[in-house]
Amino acid sequence: METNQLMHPWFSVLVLVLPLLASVVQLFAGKRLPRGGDWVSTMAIFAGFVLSLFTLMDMISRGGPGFRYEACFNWISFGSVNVTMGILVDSLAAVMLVLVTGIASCVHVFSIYYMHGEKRYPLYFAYLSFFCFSMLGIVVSDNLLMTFMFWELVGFSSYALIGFWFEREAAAEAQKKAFVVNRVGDVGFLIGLMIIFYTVGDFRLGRIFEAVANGTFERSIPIFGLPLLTLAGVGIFLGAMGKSAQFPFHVWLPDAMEGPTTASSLIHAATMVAAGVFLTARIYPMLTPEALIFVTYVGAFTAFMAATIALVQSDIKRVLAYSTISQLGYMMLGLGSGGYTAGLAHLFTHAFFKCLLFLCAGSVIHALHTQDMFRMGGLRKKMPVTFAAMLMGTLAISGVPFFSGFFSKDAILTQVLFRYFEAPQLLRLVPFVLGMGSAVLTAFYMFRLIFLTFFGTPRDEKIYGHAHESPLLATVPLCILAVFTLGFFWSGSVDIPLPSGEVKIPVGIVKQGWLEEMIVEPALLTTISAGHYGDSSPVKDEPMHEKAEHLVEGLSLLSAAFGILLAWLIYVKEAVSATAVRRRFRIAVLFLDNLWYIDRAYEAVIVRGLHRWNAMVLWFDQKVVDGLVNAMGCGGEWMGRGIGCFDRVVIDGAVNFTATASQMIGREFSRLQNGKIQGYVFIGILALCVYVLVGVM
Amino acid sequence: MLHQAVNTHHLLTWMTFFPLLTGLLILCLPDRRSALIRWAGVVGSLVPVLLAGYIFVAYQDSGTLAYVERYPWIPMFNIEYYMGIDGLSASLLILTALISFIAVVASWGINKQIKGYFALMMLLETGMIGVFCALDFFLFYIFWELMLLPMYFLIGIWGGPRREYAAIKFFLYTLAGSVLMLLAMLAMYFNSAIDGHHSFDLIAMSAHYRQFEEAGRILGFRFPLIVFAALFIGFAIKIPVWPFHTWLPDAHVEAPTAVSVILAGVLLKMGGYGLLRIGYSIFPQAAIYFSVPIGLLGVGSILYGAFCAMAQTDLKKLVAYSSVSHMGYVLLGIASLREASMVGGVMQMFNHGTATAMMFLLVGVIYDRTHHREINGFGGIGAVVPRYMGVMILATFASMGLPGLSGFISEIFVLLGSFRSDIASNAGSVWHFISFQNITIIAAFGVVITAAYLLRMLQKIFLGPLNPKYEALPDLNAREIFTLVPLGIAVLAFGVYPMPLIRLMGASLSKLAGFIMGSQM
Repeated sequence: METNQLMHPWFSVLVLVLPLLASVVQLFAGKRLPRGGDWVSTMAIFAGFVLSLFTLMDMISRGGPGFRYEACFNWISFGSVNVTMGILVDSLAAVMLVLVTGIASCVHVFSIYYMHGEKRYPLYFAYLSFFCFSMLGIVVSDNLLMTFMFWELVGFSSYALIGFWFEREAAAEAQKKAFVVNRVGDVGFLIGLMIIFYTVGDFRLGRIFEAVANGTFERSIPIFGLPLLTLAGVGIFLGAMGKSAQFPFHVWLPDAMEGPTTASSLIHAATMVAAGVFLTARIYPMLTPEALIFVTYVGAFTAFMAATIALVQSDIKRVLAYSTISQLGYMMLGLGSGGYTAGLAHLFTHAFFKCLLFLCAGSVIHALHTQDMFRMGGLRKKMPVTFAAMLMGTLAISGVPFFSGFFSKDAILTQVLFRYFEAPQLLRLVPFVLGMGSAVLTAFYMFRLIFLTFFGTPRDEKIYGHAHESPLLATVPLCILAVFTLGFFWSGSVDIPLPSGEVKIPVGIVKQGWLEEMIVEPALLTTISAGHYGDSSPVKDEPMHEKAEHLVEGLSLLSAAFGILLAWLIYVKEAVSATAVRRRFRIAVLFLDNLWYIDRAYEAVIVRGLHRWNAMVLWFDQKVVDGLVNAMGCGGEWMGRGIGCFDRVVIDGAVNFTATASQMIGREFSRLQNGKIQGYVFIGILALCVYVLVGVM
Repeated sequence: MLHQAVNTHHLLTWMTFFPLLTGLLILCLPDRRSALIRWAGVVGSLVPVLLAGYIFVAYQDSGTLAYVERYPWIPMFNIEYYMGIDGLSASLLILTALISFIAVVASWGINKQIKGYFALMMLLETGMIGVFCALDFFLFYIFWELMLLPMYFLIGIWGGPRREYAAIKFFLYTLAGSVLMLLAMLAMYFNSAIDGHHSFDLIAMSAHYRQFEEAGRILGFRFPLIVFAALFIGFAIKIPVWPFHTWLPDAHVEAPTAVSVILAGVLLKMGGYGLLRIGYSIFPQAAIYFSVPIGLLGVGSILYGAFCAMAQTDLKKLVAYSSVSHMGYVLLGIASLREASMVGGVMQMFNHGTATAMMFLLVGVIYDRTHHREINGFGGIGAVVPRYMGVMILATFASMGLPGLSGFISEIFVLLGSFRSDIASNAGSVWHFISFQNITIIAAFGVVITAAYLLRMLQKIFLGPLNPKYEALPDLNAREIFTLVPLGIAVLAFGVYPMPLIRLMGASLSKLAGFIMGSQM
C-alpha cells in the first residue's frame, strides 16, 4: 500500500453517503418538499460527480494506475473472527466513480422531465438515490463481503424500480423475476465468499490476492473434486453473471424493461449490469486459467445469443435490452481472454452510449406513448435532436470508426484473436467467430431500429401527429452523453507539430488511449513503478498482436458496413422484403421469436416443476409427518378408550359382579327369614333329615 | 467452581417475578375495569423491558456469569434457586422482555375475558424469562413447564376456530419433549457428583462433564450419547426441527396475534437456548458425535420449511413455515461448532425473533381489517396502504437476509462459519463421507427459495391491480406503529452495525466452541 494520501480521501466516502442521505430525506419528507424533492436527489448525485472528478484528478496527479488509497475499520470482531469495512480507491474505482455519478446525473435530470406528474414522484427519486448509493458502494468497496452487501442492495433497488408501476401485473412479475434470478447467481457468490472465509479468513481484496500468490488455496482439500480457487472464482463469477445478465441468467433483463425507461437506462444498461463486469475485473487475480475459459465461453455465447434475439424484437426497449445483454457478453469475452483493459474500456464506452440510447428511446416513447417500432417511422424530422443523439449512439455501438465503440470492441476482438494465434486450435476460434458474428448482427439490428423509428414514412399517422421534440431538460442530457460517444474522447493522442511546439491532440484513430494508461491489469501493476505508467504496454508477443489487430480492424469495418447495408436494403430501400426474409427463414425466426425457448423452458421445468415439488412436499408434510402425529394422537386416544373399556367391563365388571352376587345371595337368603314359624320348623326338619342321612351313610 | 460476587440487586429476580406479581394483582382487579387491567399488563411487562435495557447497556459478555443470585431452595435434594446470565442467554433475555411487552400492547383489541388473558400473559412472561435465567436444571424445568400452561389456555381459549385441536396438539407435543427432558434431568442428577453430592447445577455439570462418561450405559448406549439424544429431541420439538415441527403451523394459525408473536419471537428460541445451555455445554463429545446428523436436520429444516412455505396460500401458515426454515439456520450454526457459526446461530435466534414478530404483527393487522388471511384474496392493496406495505417490505426483506437488515448478518455468519467446520472429516466416524462444506453449500440454496416465496407473497398481496373490495382499507394506526417501530429499529440497527448484539454473546460462544472442540480426545 502506498504511504502517500489522497488530497481528499473523504471525498469518495462523501460520494457514497450523499445519495443515501438524499434517499432517506426523499423517503420520509419527499412529499412535503417543493417539487417533490427531485432537486435533493439530483444535487446529491451531481455533488458526487464533482467530488469524483476531483478524486480522479488527484489520482492522476499522484501516480495514476500505481496509486491506491485504502482505509478500513473493524466492523465485526469477536474471538478470532474479524471483518472489516473499508474503501479502496484505485484508478479503476476512480474512473468508475466518475462514470456512475456522471451518467446518473444525466439520468436524474432527464427523469425530472420523464417522470413529471407521476403519483409517486418523490419515491421514484428516493429509489434512484438509493440505487446510486448501493452501486457506488460496490465501486469503492475494499472487500468482497462488503461488495456482496451492496451487491444485494443493488438487487433490491432494481427490484423497487422495476416494480415502480406495481399496479401493472407485468411489472410486479418482472421485479420478482429479476430479484430471484439474481439470487440464483448470488448463491454462487455466497459459495465463493464461504471458500474465501475458509481459506483466507479475510475478505479484503489485498489479503485475498496475497493468499492467491502464496498458494494458500492449493493447500485446502478440493470440494466436489474441484480446486478451491477455481471454484471460488467461478462462484463469484456466477454472481456477476446474474447481475450482468449472462446466459443462463439473462432472462430477467428484458422483462426489467417494465420499469420506467429512465431507470432502465441507468440500471439496466449503464450501471447495475456493469457491476458484474466490474466485479469480474476486481477479482481478476483470483481467476484461474480454467475460470477464465469459463468466462470467455459464457461471454461469447451470451453476446451471440442475445444479438440474434435482438434481430426480431419489435419493442424498441427490448431491442436495446437484448443489445445490452449482447454487449455485456462482449465485455466478459474480453475479460475472459485476458483483455482486462479491453473489457473494462468497453464497459465505459458502452455505459455512455447505452445510457444515451435508452434515454433517446425514452424521449421517443414519451412523445409517442408506444414502444412498438412498427408503429413509428419518419420521426427524424419531428425529433431532430433525439434522432441525432440516437444515431451517434448507434454508430458507436455498431463499431463505426471515430466513435467510441470502435475502439473498445476492436480491442476485445483483437485480444480474442490473439489468444487463438497463441495456440491455434479450432475450438479456440469459436469465441472469435461468435464475437465477430455478433458484430455484424449488432450493426444490423441497431440500424434496423434507427431506420424503423426515424426513417421512412410514418406507419401510424395518429401517433405521428402527436410526436414532438422533448424540451431542453431532456435534450441537454442527451447531448452531453452524445459527446462521449465520439471516438476522440477515448482514443490516444498523436503528436502534431505546430509552430508553438509539439502538441498532443486526440484524434479518433489511435487505439492506445488514456484508458489503457489508467486501467492496468493488477498483475502488471507490480512491474510498473509509479510515475512511469505512461509506457505500461503489456508484455506481449508484439508482432502477433499487431497481426491480430490489423485483421480485426479490417474484419470489423467490413462487418459493420455489411450489417448497416443489409438493414438499409431491407428497411429503407425495401429492396428485400422483410416478410419474405421472415418466411424464408421461418424456423429460425420462430426460434428467435421464442427467445431460443429459454424462458419457456424455465417456465415449464423450473417454475412448474417447483410448484409441483412444493405441493408434494406439503402433501408429505400434512399427510405423512403430521399424519403420523395425528395417528399417534388417535392411537393414544383409542388406547385410552380401550383401557377405559377394559376398565369398565372387566375390572369394574368384576367388582360389580362381586357386589351384585353377594347382594343376590343375601337377598335370596333373607327370604328365608320371613318370620313364619312353620317355615322355620320345615327347615329344622329338613336339616335334621339331612343330618340323619349323612350320619347313616 | 465459579466464584462470583452475589449480586445484591436481585435484578434477574425482579425481572422474572415482576410480571407474576402483576398477574396476581390483575386477578384481584374487578372484571369491568378493563382499561385498568390492560394498563396493569403494560406496566407489568414494561418493567422487565427497562431492566433489559439496563442489561443491554451495561452488560459486556466476557465468558463468565453475571447478575448471579444463588440460594438453597430444597436442600434435601441439593436444589438451588440459581439465577444468572451469560452470553448464551443475555441477548435472548432482552428479546423476551421486548417481545412480551410488544405482545401485551398488541393485545389491546382482546375483549374476551380480559382479566384471565392478561393474567396468563404475565404468568407466561415469568416462565419465559425464568427459563433464560435459571442455571439450576430443576429450576429451569419448573419455569419451562410454567410457561406451557398459560400458552395452552391462551391458544385454547382466545384462539381461532380450531383452537382446541391446536392447543391440545401443542400441549401434548411439548409435553412429550418435557418428558424426555425430565428423564434426562433425573439421569443426570443421579449420575452427577459435585463435591460428593448429586446436583442440578448446570454450570458445575458442564465443568465436570467427564464424570458422565463413566456413568453406566442405558439401553446399551453410552450415557452421554443417549442423554444428549433425549435432550436434543426434547429441545428440537421446541425449535422446531423437522420432523417435529407440525405443531407449529397449527398453533400459529389458531393462536391470537399476540400469542403468535410470543410463540415465534420467544418460545422457539428456548429450544435453541436449551440445546446450548444443557445439551452442548454438558455433553460436548456427544455434540461432536452428532454434529453431522444435527447439521443435516438443520439443512433439512431450511429447505423443507421453505418448500412448504412456497406451497402455502394462508399468510400465517406461510410465516409459520418460514419460521421452520429460518430456525434451521440456528441448528446448522450450532451443529457445526465454530465460533462464527455459533454466534451466527444465536444471532439468528434474536433476529428471527424481531423480524418474525413483525411479520406476525403485520399478519394480525391485515386480519383485523379483512378477516381473512388468504394470500390470493387481496391483490394490489399496496396502493391504498403504503405505510403498511413499507413496514411489510422491511420485515420481509429482513427475513430474506437483505444486507443492511439483521437477518443477513446471522445467516451469513452461519454459512461462513459452518463452511469452516471440519468436524465431519476429523471425526473418523460414520459421517466421514459427508462434510460440513457440502451441507453448507446445499443450505446456501435456501436463500433463493426464501426470496421466491416471500416475494410471491408480497406480489400477491400488495402488487398488481387493486382489488376493488379493499379500496377503503385503513392504513396502520398509531398503536400498531408503536408495536412495530421498536422491532423495525432493531432489525435495521443490528443489520447495519451488529456489534452491540455480538458484544452480548461473542465471548461466551467462542468459549463454548473452544470448550467443545477441546473435549475431543
